[in-house]
Amino acid sequence: MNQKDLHLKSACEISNLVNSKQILAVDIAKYFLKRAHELNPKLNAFNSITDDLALKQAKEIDERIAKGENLPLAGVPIAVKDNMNVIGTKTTCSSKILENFVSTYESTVTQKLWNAGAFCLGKTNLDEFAMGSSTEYSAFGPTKNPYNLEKVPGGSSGGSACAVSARLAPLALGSDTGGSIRQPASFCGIVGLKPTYGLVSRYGLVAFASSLDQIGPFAMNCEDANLMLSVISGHDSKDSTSLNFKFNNNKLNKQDFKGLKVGVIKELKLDENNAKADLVKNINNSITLFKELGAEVKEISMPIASKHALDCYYIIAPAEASSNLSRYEGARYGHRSLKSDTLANMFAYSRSEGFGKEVKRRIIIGTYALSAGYYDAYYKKAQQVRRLISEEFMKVFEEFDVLLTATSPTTAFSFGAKMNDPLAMYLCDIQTIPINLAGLPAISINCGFDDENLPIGLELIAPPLKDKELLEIANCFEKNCVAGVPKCL
Amino acid sequence: MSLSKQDIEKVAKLANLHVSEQDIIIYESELNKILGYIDRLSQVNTEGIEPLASSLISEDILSREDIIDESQQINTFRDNLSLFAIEMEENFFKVPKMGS
Repeated sequence: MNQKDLHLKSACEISNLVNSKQILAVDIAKYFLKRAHELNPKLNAFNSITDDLALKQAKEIDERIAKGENLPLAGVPIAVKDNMNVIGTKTTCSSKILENFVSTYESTVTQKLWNAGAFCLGKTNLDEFAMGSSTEYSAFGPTKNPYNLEKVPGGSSGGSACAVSARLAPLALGSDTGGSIRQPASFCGIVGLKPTYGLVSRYGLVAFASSLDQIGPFAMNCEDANLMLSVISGHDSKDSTSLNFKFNNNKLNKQDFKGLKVGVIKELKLDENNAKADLVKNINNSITLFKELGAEVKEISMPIASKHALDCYYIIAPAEASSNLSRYEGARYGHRSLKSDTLANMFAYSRSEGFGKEVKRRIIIGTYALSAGYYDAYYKKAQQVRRLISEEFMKVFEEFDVLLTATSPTTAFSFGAKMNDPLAMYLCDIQTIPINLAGLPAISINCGFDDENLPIGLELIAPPLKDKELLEIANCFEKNCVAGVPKCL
Repeated sequence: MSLSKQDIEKVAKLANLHVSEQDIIIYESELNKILGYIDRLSQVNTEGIEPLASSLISEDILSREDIIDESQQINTFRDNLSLFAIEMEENFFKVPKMGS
């Protein structure tokens, strides 16, 4: 078959072509590897492109197809965020402290993808240890936004979002602790899904804030995200927080929103006073579309989630991070300082040299919040507020099927715009953070473009374990939204 | 609440981080700005509210029985030490002396 424009094919289309033997997985691997090498110098989406692994896996996929197997992700290239272990590849977390670390075991999510016939194209750039909202905190330089190379791709999973948006790969894995899948998906004009906490195994994901971290898909469309989630979800005995829940892997088919109750969170609603006019207009147009398709849309008030989620998150996430990141001490693996004359100096200097400034900032905040005398005022208080936020969501879901907000208060911003103001960077995630605290599924999908031709993301939030329903709603919106086809790099 | 230079030094030590005089000056202004924002938490009435540690919808799974599954045992860490160890002797990590 004609191999031109293979990068424009969806994961579903590629899998059909390979299963029906119209093309070899090896040829797909060669095509996407060539494209990744051509465009990566411009975009910096990948920390490493895994040529040998991709070709080896593709060859094995072709052998399985030749034997008559039918694989859900046959020959589909995957970009993997560089905080997930893929055996034999470097897993750097975009940190100097793990610059040369090679994984000795496989994450459950990636193993499931390879079993389903996908192959690893490369490991993608991120804000160091997934802490950030622009990918500028990477130790290996920022990733660029494919829509405008002067703009950030969002973060922390900026490399994965960029890879799918620029059609370097049809699917990518991201991790979302406070918005790290949804916000970059919004900035890059693609679909990004944060599943219910516990639906996807975290085994093999480098821990940042364990009670909030969740792995999820980036895709060009909802059907591809649905396909990827059906492969990576499911119980895993290697993750003690993994739920015993079977995700329904049927194709998506919802045709309208008749009977659907949609809540618009009043306090998070953007208006001309706090957001750009085109952003406000696009979100309002999206609300109108929901109504046209039969949904009943009402405003609701969520005072605690909207006002206090960010304060709550910036205690809990750094506290968990300070504990999780204590394992990097220069003794066993990672960076060891040359100033390691004593054990104490080895710890302090290896960590100080190896971690970047945002990671150190959060370790200090987290250590402070957990230290004697401050624990009750900060950590315990934040956990109490977390319960109130969670309960506020559960109460709202007694009345509504889905909640709607903009994914981010802005479209992609310029490099450097928020680098000297950590608090301004944190405020980027005000629309996404409440969802992680409550463990809910939420998706970002493109709903239009602003006056600079930058993508705008719509966030939809569902009750726990309603990931399928969420995808159905997002897919129906996607099919009816006339946002225009995002242009390709 | 706010952090003084001495607090930052103390917390950095607890966190096993080396911070220079210049770092402390930067941290003092940055962290106090962040903590100033976070202090909004104190406005929420949380009397009698049980802390929530996890977003798990069912905490039952955390109290599962602890059964050893031999097939799940991973020895890759021990078997592959040489792939990532900074310094080793025989099968042990080698580190500098404890004291100064």
